Amino acid sequence: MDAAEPKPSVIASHVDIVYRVFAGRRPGGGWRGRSTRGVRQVHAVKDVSFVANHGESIGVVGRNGSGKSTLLRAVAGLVPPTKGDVWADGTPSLLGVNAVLVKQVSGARNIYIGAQALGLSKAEVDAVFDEIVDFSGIGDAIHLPMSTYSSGMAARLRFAISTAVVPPVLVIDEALATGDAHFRARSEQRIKKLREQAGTVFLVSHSADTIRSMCDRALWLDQGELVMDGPVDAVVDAYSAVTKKSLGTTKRPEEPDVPGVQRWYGSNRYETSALASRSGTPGPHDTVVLASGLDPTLAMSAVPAAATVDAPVLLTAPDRLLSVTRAELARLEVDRVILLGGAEILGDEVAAELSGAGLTVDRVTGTTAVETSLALLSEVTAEDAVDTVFLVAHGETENVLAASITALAGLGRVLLVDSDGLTPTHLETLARLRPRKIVVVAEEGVVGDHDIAELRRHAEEGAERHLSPTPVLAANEASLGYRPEDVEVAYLASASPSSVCDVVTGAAVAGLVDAPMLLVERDSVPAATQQELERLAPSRLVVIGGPLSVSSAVRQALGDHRRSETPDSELDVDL
Amino acid sequence: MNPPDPAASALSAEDARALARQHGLTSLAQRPTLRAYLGQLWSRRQFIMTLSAAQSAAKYEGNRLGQLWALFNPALLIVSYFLVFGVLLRTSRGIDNFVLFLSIGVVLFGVAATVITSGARAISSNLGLVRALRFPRAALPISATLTELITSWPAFALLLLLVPITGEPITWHAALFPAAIGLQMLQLTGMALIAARLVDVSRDLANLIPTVLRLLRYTSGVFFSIAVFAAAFPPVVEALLAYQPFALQLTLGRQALMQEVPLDGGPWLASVVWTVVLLVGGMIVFWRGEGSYGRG
Repeated sequence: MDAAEPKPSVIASHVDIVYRVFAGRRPGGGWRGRSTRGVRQVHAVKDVSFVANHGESIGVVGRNGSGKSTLLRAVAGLVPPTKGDVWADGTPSLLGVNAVLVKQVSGARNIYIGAQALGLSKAEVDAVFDEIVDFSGIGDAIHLPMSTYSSGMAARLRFAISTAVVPPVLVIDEALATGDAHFRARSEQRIKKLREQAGTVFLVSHSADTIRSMCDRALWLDQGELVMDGPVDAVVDAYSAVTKKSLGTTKRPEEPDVPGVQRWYGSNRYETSALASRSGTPGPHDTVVLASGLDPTLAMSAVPAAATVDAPVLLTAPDRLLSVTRAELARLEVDRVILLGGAEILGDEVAAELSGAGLTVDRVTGTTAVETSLALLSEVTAEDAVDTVFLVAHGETENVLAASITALAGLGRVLLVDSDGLTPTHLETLARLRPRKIVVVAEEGVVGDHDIAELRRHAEEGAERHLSPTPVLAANEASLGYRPEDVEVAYLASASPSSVCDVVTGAAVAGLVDAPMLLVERDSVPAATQQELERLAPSRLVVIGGPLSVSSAVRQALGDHRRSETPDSELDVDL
Repeated sequence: MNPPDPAASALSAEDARALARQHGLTSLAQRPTLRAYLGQLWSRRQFIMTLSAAQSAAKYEGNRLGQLWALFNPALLIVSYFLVFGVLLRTSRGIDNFVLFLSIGVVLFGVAATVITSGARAISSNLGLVRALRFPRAALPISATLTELITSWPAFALLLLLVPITGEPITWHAALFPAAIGLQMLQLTGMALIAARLVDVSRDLANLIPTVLRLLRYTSGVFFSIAVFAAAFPPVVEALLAYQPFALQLTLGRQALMQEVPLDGGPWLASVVWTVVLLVGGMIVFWRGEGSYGRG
């Protein structure tokens, strides 16, 4: 420490934060008979120490899931560290995107609730009330319930409330991204003023520019560890250098941030797959399914099976392992990799590279996609009951998407057929498995009516043809099985044929965390999806794919469906 | 590439503690002492009031008839209970003014059920507040009780109105009614604190609450006289049924408003004891979980 000049406002000493997540996967029907229900521990912050001083403005950078938000919640005193200690001057206040107060009541009442919770007396709130309303720019709507506010209005109001009192320590979690340029400029000014009043500001933002312009110091977290702590330019430079190296070029078209609607994508399908896995599946997984990105329909058809054994699905180039994929396999602490397809589909180079890294490599062999699909279904041992098997033609991408998303939600399986229809192996496999039900998602030209009659004998509840309308509708229907109170996050990707890989990636992550997977169009949110989002009102949305797959306008529109508060359903208190 | 930060790595846990002490920083990780915790709660009393008033106002906000439902709901409930238990099942044995007896039972037990239900969800239904602001979390279950008290005054007024309507004389005993309500609210606060902690520890427990409340509703003498119906059992059964807090809450209310239920010090004394036990116990139970609420 250099002399006694700076006065500390926050001291974090060897902070470790481990929290439990409930893996809410339904048990039963496992492919290798392993139920994955239970509590998983996430080591979000590992041995982080720093001293923050009065008047400092500290940016926190790091990838999604690097522990930034968790660390800041500890600094705000909202999450106690599992190990270590945090000291602060007074009561810090956290300003986060999810912090709606009581949404059923008016903004005015929320000002009183929020400001009094921060420690103001009623008289003190009276004194600053007009200023808060003015600053938020909400106007007369302040007397309407907060549930009627757009996410931007709510964020502005929260910002105004949190900064009404000069908190000794203010923690801002991406809140500045909201609102128009005008509000942004005013909030930047307000933060500058706070700093002059000797407060300390912590700021998490994905935008390096925001951090550079607002902060003088930065912390860089990666996988919960403090990688670097120093002057803002040095840290942000180092951070961007590393992210550029591992992500390829990161010069992306500027896109306004939408609070609560994240976008996960890389510069190609393999990067997107690895990045989404990194952000969406925090804990370790011992088994991973590796599929060729050149045959997304085959990969998609394997997603429901992978989900039942709690295995992430990663896409790879057929002839080599990209470094992002290798890094992600290492991060997941994978022991065993299942290659989807024979050497014709995924080259031996990939297998050799994996074995070289000390991993067990198993292949689901088949020279074609259909053979592979059969082999995958045969992996199911006789004791495991298979619910529904969807038969779908390999070439019909839309049907594969629809069937796989439906199967994913209902613990079913997808079996591919060729355009020539069923083979004796199909019948044999199904006869052996005796699924509860067989659904044929193919035209009569592919699987004829007399084939269905034949299939009927192999399933307990028979077989039927069900041509799902479109992947969008099938995804919405599959999502209906989720109760809004169980849905924290929903994944979205474009239904257009060019984005199939994004759907595979999204469905694989969604399957692991038991979250709904919904589809949109490139430039619009279909009415049915919109309706389903309104019903679920998830607090967080994740768009898989870049602005070329799902436009910025769609992402913006999705922001309005986010739930900003937990549901207010009343438990019944009747007889 | 990554130079270790000198300030952080040089600072051992002891140095950090010393530095914090030197500059008067307080630990965010450690739970405050019970005394300090109660102090924090007291200093947020206005916040608790504001929150309760807001939540009470929100309750019927979406309804066209608004707060009138706070009157209609208990009134309709009393009528339906009367039809079932007074007319069909005739559980009115041994009670002269069954309408008032039943009304007091329905309203007071309804208050208890609501407080326990919303108290159990006090943390989970206020995650927005919990995740954004640091304040003593006991404010939330306490505000569940207060919210119900504010919401229920029309129902209490209805009970007072029913006294002359059902031909009951108005005596000085009615002045004890607020005291009965007060004791009930304090007991419910204690229970709400305990329920909030239990449900926070294991969310699954929330599923048991409706069943437990139903059981209590049928055994606390809401629509029958415990003394009459327990007569067939050994006296210990009657004592157990009559001296559990929910039954006592109804008894106290009835002693205050009904002439046929004579004023008796025993139940009042038992109620005071329950109040102290539940309030102190609830506060300690809840305080011991402070810091873990709304985590994850």
